[in-house]
Amino acid sequence: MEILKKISENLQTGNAPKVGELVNKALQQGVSPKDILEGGLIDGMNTIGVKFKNNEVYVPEVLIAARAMHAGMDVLKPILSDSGVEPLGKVIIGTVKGDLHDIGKNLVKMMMEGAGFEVIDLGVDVAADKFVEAVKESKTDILAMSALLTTTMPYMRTVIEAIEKAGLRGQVKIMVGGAPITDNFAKEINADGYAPDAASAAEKCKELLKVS
Amino acid sequence: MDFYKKLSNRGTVLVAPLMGLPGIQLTKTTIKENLENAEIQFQTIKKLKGKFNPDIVFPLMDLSVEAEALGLKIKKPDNESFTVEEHPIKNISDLKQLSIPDPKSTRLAVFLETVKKMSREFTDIPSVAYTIGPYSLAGLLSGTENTAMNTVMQPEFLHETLKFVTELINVYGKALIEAGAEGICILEPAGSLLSPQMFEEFSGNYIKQLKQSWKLPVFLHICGNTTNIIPKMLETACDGLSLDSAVDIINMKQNIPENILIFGNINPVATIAYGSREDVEREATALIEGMRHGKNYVLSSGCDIPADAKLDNIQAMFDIAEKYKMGE
Ligand code: B12
Repeated sequence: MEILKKISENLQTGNAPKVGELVNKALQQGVSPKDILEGGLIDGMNTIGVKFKNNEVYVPEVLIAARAMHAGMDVLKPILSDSGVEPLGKVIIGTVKGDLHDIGKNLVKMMMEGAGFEVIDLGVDVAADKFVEAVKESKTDILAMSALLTTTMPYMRTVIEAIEKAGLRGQVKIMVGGAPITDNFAKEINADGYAPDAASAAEKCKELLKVS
Repeated sequence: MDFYKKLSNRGTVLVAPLMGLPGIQLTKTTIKENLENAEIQFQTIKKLKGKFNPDIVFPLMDLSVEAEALGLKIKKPDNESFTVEEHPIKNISDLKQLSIPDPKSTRLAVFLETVKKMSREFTDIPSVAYTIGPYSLAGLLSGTENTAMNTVMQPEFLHETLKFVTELINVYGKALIEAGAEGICILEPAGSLLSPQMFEEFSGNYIKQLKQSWKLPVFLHICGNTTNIIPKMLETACDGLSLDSAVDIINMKQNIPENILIFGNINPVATIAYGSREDVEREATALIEGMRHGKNYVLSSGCDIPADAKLDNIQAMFDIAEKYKMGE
């Protein structure tokens, strides 16, 4: 559909007002919210994710595309929940205690949202009890943690142990990532998944929940 | 004495890790004490030099000191690097509130004083000072994420910010040179977030101005994977590139002219800080072998070595280099 293609393109070039406008227009034309989400917003984010992975676009463009996606989501979200389109699952994400890096985490969040997950962002410098509380508070499918410092990496283990202690480990999948994190480290600390970049992080979520 | 003259007396396998922080293990001091007191920092560097005999010495790395000189709020833990707490400069009128201070009246004075002591005392090897790079400093003023987006959304504001911070870095650099620095290494960690074109426009062009103004050897260090921006880093006319462990420098060396020094690039964290001695020996050997045909190579860490790194692993870099020197 022409208008969905336009949404996707404007999202990729980061034109936030235009994306919001086009999503409204599509709704008026009677396009279903689900099609707008999948054919417009998710399509655009996926394209950006792949281009980022291949070094065709860089961090600034991805951040700007993310802004445009949010502009579209702001219009779409209330309608999506009214029309009964279920998110694929619920993710809680945060950068661990002592660590203030959030650019990577924000990109991961956005790709997950783009893939159709509901994401709750706890921000940066998040302590273990805050993660535990958030998981307790509402049904969470995935807990995702980011760390960019080797000094804060080990804190991921602390969070996982706290989740175990609270008796929640069985009901939530745990994913970790960030530049110094490796697949091996993820296994070592008993996480369920690791992904090296934002696009694969969203894929990993689907894999862990066996949805697509 | 001049940088190259001193280096030319040091043989062919040069070693200069970015290793200020681990020195605190030798002086039993805190990071905070070193970043606030020139005499303490100087003693830390002197101990490091005595223990390892590097071919170039650097001060401790501190990416918050220029931002503090501009009045930003800094968090100063006892034993972690200082960080900038708030990034309040959101538009031109915020920017206009800032002014360039006399470096001596700010904490920049700690580094001016340290460099002065270094260059007086260490007559055998060059003392190279650090400054932050313009794009990274702009990131600290306005927030890294905002600044990245401003390359596209508000390029005029970003250029105004860059002009201003470049002037501060220029003034600071000149003061470092007056204090005795024989080279300056610009630290531009956020440079690797940019595309080659963006890097040129928002970082490289400003670094080029600094190089022209300072008229002494200038090196450029960027953390992360800089493979794609190496040509643009070379266009800054800097005299050397310090490349992080994500770059395959053995493969890239053919693209770097022989008069440009290449510093790199053992992984400072996985290998040097927390790896085994054998890991360091293996990587150092591979690098020296792989870089042999260039006389422009300096064995170094890819980035700043963490404070709690195993000193014996740092020693291993020097031991391997020594082995090659003996063989010559
Ligand atoms: C920007 C930056 C900052 C900014 C952060 C701004 C912000 N809002 O995030 C500021 C200036 C505040 C900062 C401060 C510091 N930083 Co800093 N910083 C960087 C820098 C330049 C870029 C990081 C980045 O955003 N990369 C881009 C994103 C997109 O990549 P990413 O985070 O890796 O995320 C991707 C993947 O890892 C993955 N991912 C990320 N999270 C997750 C989570 C999950 C669940 C999954 C599946 C995947 C995933 O997907 C992402 C997208 O593809 C790096 C150096 C570099 N060039 O890499 C240093 C770096 C990370 N910083 C470093 C350091 C040491 C610091 C400081 C201690 C001070 C200092 N010396 O600079 C402070 C610490 C502050 C603190 N307590 O956290 C070191 C870390 C060394 C180490 N390994 O321990 C680095 C590597 C630079 C260096 N070598 O000195 N920094």
